[in-house]
Amino acid sequence: MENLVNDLFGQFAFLQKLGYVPTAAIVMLACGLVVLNFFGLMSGLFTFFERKVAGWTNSRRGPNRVGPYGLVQFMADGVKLILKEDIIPAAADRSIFKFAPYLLLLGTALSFVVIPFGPKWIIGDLNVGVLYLLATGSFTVVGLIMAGWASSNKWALLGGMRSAAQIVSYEIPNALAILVVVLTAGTMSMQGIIRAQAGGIDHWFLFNSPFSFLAFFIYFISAIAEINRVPFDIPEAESELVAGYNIEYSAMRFGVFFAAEFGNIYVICAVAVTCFLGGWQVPLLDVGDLGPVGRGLGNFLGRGEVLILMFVVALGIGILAWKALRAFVWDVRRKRAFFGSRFVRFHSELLVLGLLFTGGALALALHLPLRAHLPTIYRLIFQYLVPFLVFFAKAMLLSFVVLWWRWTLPRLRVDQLMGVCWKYLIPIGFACLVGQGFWMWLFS
Amino acid sequence: MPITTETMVLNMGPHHPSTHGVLRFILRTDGEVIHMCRPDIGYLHRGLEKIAEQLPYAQFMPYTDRLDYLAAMNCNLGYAITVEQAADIEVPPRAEYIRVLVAELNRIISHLISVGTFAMDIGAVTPFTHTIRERERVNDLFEELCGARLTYNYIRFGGVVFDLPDGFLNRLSQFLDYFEPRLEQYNRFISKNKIFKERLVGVAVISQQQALDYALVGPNLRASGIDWDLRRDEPYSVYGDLEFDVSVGTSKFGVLGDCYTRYWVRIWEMEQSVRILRQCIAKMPEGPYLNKTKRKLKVEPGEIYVRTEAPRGELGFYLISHGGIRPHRLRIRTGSFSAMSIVEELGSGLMVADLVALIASLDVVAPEVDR
Repeated sequence: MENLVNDLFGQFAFLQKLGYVPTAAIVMLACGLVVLNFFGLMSGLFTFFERKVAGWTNSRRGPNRVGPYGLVQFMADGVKLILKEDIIPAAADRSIFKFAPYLLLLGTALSFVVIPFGPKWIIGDLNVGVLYLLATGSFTVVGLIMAGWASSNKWALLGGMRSAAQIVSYEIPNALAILVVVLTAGTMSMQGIIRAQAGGIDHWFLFNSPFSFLAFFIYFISAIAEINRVPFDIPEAESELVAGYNIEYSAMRFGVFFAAEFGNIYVICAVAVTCFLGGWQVPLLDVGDLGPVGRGLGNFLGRGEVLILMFVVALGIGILAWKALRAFVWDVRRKRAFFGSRFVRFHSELLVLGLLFTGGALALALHLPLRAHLPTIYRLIFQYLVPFLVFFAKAMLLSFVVLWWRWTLPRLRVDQLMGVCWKYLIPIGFACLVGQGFWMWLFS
Repeated sequence: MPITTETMVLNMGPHHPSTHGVLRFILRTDGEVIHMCRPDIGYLHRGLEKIAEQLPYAQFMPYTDRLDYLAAMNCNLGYAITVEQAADIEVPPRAEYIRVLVAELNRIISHLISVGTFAMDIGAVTPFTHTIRERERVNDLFEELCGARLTYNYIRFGGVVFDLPDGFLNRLSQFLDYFEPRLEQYNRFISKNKIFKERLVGVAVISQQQALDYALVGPNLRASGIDWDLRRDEPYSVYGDLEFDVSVGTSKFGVLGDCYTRYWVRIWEMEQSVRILRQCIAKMPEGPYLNKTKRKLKVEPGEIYVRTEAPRGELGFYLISHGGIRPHRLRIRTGSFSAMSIVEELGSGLMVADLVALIASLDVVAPEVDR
């Protein structure tokens, strides 16, 4: 937060006149808005993504009616859920029943505070970041038990009970795996952990030692158990408990449960990326600085003859790309599948080249007047956009695994689930922690 | 103060995702562990046996479709054989082969549903969609054959109602070529899955004695290691001329008589059905497909009990005729009913999730239980 405000002070002089506290307040509000919207969008997109993955594994298509490729389906679902009647059972404990989903949502939304989006892009880089994450994760279990109890339904109660046992147990291996990371990085701050992994893939904590390699899998498994996904989805086991803790919920309260669940997928994957997969660190590129490659590219592009040549080429290809784009729009309007569309079949290389050159031409056109600001623009791109995209790509790759498991694996029984945690994950977790300590003592 | 726990009465069904239709179980549980499990049946009772007494023999045929809607052909066949034996009706050989062919094809799709829902009850959703995909192709074949996709009403006294369409046998063998590798695919996908095994091996073991005591039939009986299959031991239709192995459960994959063995017996039966179908295609004789009977069929006074091997075990029709065009009494004995009776004994001591596996492994179909 402080970094961000100071950064803004550096960029925009008028904010300095406003003073620190009002600026921070504005920034906080903006951050809250951005994060909540990001959270909503992410969980919405995850419902879409999950349904598409389900379609692929189930040999069917998934949503493809609302919007292009069914992308707007989640908004339609949201609107439907908001419009539906919110039924509260007569025997339910009304206040607890109403509050439970929001507590669940709170736990997930709070986690977004310490999830980094880039080297300078984090709402609050707390010095106890990882600890904070573990703490907010515990909101979930309170919400689930409240929902299970307040519904006054035995199936919901069983679901709440199962989730309590499960989440409380799995927090231990989860924390143990993260402790391995904390031990290695020497800090609990999320950004600190990522910075400690700078310098290429071999510096990622995943490959730090055999113990941290194992810790990654312990973390991933127990995190999936914590957010109640298959194969650990026993609190909402459909074939056993009908729907588990959310059996009596309808309308948007039900939607909130699911928003939290899908938001959680992103949270656990983001934490896994932060702790083990180098966060926003780009392989072979030092994000904090432009580096020789970036500087060389900037100098090369700054030469006049290169500019003119590229501009001419870009214009020609831009015209072709425009034609291609129109064909593409033609296909989309008629709801052709993307990969089978006329456009992709005949003009795919044109699209790529054209978009590249059009972008290049635009950049070059802006290049001359903005030459003075060039370092700022490059800095913005390299410090905000590229790291965010890298982080996001890594997180999405991991969350694909989560969804993939969801549609492939059967579910464990409740006692087997506990067995996996207490008999395997926790002892291995402790061994990893001690082993990592010895490893560090030996090799450093 | 001593720690005591109270038991809780849990009402599972009639609308529960894993009760396969409309079944109800009254459970007395201590947390997750079931102390008492009482099946409550009758939610799908339609009085089929009483309806049979009101209708001419031929008109009851569509009702047998509704007996076990996942294996309508086998129910048709059982009823047809009963009335044919009672009324001494000859069946031409081509019709016999067509009957065996459709019955085995129906056995395959019935087991496909069974295997798919089994996996779904254990928590894996995807195998179900894959088995349904294969079933769809068989449904297409059946639609070609008789116009219906679920309740076929295809078999008549003295034969079948339509001859095989042109090229049907070709398309059938195409399907078999497509289907056989799929079985191996299911095995890789779900049958040999570690979690799936963990959930099923050693769960709800039915001993041989128990299986006999509760008169279990079909795959459930064979999974307990009892080598009994009506198709081989009391061959009806042309099963005597066909070669196939009876799939008996072994303890190779787990405990004899547990849920996992019951699952495997169904997979093996599908393999054997494919084998029978290939023989039917090869041996299919030419000739008439229907021996026309009188419109108002009369059966001589007397009693007859005929049993056939349906996908859910022996399907018995006990027919009492006092002469005339209607049966005096038609009693139907189904496999799902006896399978339901053993749930009460096996249920206590299981966990809720195991009970779901048990019901799925018995492959109970609600309309067959209640009739």
